[in-house]
Amino acid sequence: MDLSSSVRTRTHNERSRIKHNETNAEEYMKRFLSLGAALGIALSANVSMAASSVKGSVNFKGAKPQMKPISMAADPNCAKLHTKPLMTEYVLVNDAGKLQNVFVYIKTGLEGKKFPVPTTPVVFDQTGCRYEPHVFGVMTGQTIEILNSDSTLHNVHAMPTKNKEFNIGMPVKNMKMNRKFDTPEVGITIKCDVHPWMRAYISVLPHPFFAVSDASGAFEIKDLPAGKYTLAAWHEKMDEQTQEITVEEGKPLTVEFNFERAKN
Amino acid sequence: MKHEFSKGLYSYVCFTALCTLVLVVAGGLVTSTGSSLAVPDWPLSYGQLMPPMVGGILYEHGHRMIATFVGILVIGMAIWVGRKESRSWVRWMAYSALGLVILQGVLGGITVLFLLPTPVSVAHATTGQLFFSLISCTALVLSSTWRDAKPVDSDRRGKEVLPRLGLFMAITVLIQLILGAVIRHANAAHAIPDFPLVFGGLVPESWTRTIAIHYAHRVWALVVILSISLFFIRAFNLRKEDQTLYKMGQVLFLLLFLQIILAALTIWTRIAVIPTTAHVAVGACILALSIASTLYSSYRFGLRDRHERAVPRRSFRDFWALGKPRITFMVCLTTAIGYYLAIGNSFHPFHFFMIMLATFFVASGASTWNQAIEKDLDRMMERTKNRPLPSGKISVVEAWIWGFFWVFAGLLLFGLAGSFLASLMAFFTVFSYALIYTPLKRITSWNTVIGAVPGAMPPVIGWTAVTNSLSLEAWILFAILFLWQLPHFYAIAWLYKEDYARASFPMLPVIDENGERTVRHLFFWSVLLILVALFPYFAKMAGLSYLLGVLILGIGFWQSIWKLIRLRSKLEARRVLLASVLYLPLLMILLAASKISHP
Repeated sequence: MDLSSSVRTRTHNERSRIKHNETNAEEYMKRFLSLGAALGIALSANVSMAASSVKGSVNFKGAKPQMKPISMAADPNCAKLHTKPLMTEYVLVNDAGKLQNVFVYIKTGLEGKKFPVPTTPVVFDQTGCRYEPHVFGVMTGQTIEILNSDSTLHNVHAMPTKNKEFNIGMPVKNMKMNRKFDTPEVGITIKCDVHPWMRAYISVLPHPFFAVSDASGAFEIKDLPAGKYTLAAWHEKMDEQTQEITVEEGKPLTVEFNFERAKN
Repeated sequence: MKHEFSKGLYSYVCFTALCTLVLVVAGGLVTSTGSSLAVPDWPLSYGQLMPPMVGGILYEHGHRMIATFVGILVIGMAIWVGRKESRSWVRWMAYSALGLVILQGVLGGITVLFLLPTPVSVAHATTGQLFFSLISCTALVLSSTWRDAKPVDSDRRGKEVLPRLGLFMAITVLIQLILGAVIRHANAAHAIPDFPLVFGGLVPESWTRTIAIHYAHRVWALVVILSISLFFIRAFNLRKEDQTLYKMGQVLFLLLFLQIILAALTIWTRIAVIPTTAHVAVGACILALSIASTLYSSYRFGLRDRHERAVPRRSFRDFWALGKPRITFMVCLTTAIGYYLAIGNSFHPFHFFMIMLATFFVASGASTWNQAIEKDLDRMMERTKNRPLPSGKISVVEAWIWGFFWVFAGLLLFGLAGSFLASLMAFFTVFSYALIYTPLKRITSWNTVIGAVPGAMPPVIGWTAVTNSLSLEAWILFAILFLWQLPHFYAIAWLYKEDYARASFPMLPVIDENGERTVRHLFFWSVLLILVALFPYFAKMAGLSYLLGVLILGIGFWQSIWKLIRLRSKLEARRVLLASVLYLPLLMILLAASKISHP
């Protein structure tokens, strides 16, 4: 009962704010609804769904690929942001042979289930004429806040195949722009045509069970309901890998992926 | 034909041509460096006239600035030539250049705003090369060389093969450039990694779209080598008579050699920026020079036999008449019906206008080609002997080129309106009308059935222009139009049996002495028509009022056909004709009036 009263107070507050700012009404409504949905799902999850986590690491077999320095001569604004040259980041492997920037996600096993879309946007930054993060995931309909932290101009050119392609200009420092993708799609390339070295890859999923391997090659997908799934690992330069997993209640699962660069 | 040579004007046009070549190189650099979308907006750049020239913006905005400069130069050229030049066709060249540069700017803008759709990017690339060729040719006809050139004596005119070799060369080069543009804009440059071999052999073992395009460019290069060599050899043989053509041939041959080396470098450097862009620029020079030498050689030697173009007076109206504007208007009307039936609640007048214009262009082109093929036949018939082609006002070659521009512009417009499927349908219609039906109609009595296929396409084009899909409704419209034409045209052929026989057209009622086969055809097709006309109701395109109305119409139409089948007289044929021209418009009105919109 505490819950419902707090919700009621919140709506009251919200309503008074709506009067001040009519244009935000829809946004508040959505937030309110998704808050309710999140609470509902969280409650039901506690009752009916047992969850566990999947963690692991990604190995890279073979010699560590050498990344090359990027020439930023084409735009002095970029060059002066770096004291030592920025390196390419196609295949990032650490000294222990662990592979970074692998997008690990549940590919099948969650069909027909609905998950609340986080209301907090994912920030996608252009800083030092580089995209941060380089590989990341969002849920369908989740806002991506595209930010230009550089004092030069960038264009953000997304090249999806299932979603709508877009190309927007961000000429001014600290400019922000919101975008969403409505259809699940893994590995959408985002590029800047002003600075051809800039590349990022975004994956859109209908659920929140994904992770990106960090500098030590490690990843963790949390709160995954018990069940059987296909777990997939996507990398920008190598073929996607999958493995079948079974998640049991309260038993964290550990998996490993092994990538190998076929040629070049 | 003498014109006064103006050094100032000639130098100005040469300078414009040079700047245009720089513009072509700049445009090539935009694609080669992958900077096409570095400026996401148009006509402004990042909302400004002058953004910082960093990274890819340097290429894209640089290209736009040079283009603006060339645009201003061309405006100046059009004014200057328009005031000074006495030859009207040269004035038209300058005005066309102005039109082309505006079209080119808009194409460039569209390709940026729509994120580089391949057909638009290819059209932008091709138009750019043609524009450069046009400016170069304008410079040529304003030159002192042209002034001093003397056309050969009238008895030799049209006998020399060189102008025809030139035309062949220019066409092969143009096709090669379009293939090249497709390679660049469909990202097929990397599809075949080795040169001169192809995956270590002569023919690729497996095929993809990109490999096929890339391979076509290489194979067609052999045709271009042949066509340029033929021109060069003939120009060499004529070197005593004409030094200019020999020089043009030499330069063409050298450029060809350079172009092959650049092609090799492009592949070996894995599409590095400099060789690739140089390959584009040299390609533009080859096209311009091959068109210019065709123009010059046909000025000197004539492209056709002189007596065939004895009637000199002609006007734009003759070219206009080639498009058969009245028939074309009917085609637009049936397209509009298909369009109207397809739209739901939203209607975009501008899109509709573009589709109508595109239909008009394509249909005009098809009519023009049709007359180019049927010139000799038209000359034999009283009704058609005064048309521009049989009367000699326009030559067959001119009609083909004129028709090509109509069709090209129309298909492009469909594409620009976002209706790629409609563009494809229109292409199929032109193809089946001009290149299948027109030749076949003199050969087989099935001509009416074959001709009914393109004849039934306009509403399908209108439908697909809106929906972008070939759904059941489109096929139903096609079937109704197709079936309706058969009793309609059989009735006409019956009525004008003797005329058709004189022109030896194998129309069914002509070859069918007692009318037995005609009657069977009439029976079969009209029963089918009356049944198929009910389909729109069952496909939920139209309501019950349509069903009832079309049933009554069908019964009426059937009565007239049944009489013709029984009595087999000209009077009854005339009645069928009358009934058919009432039946279709009434059916369409019913369909439109009781249309059910699906949002």
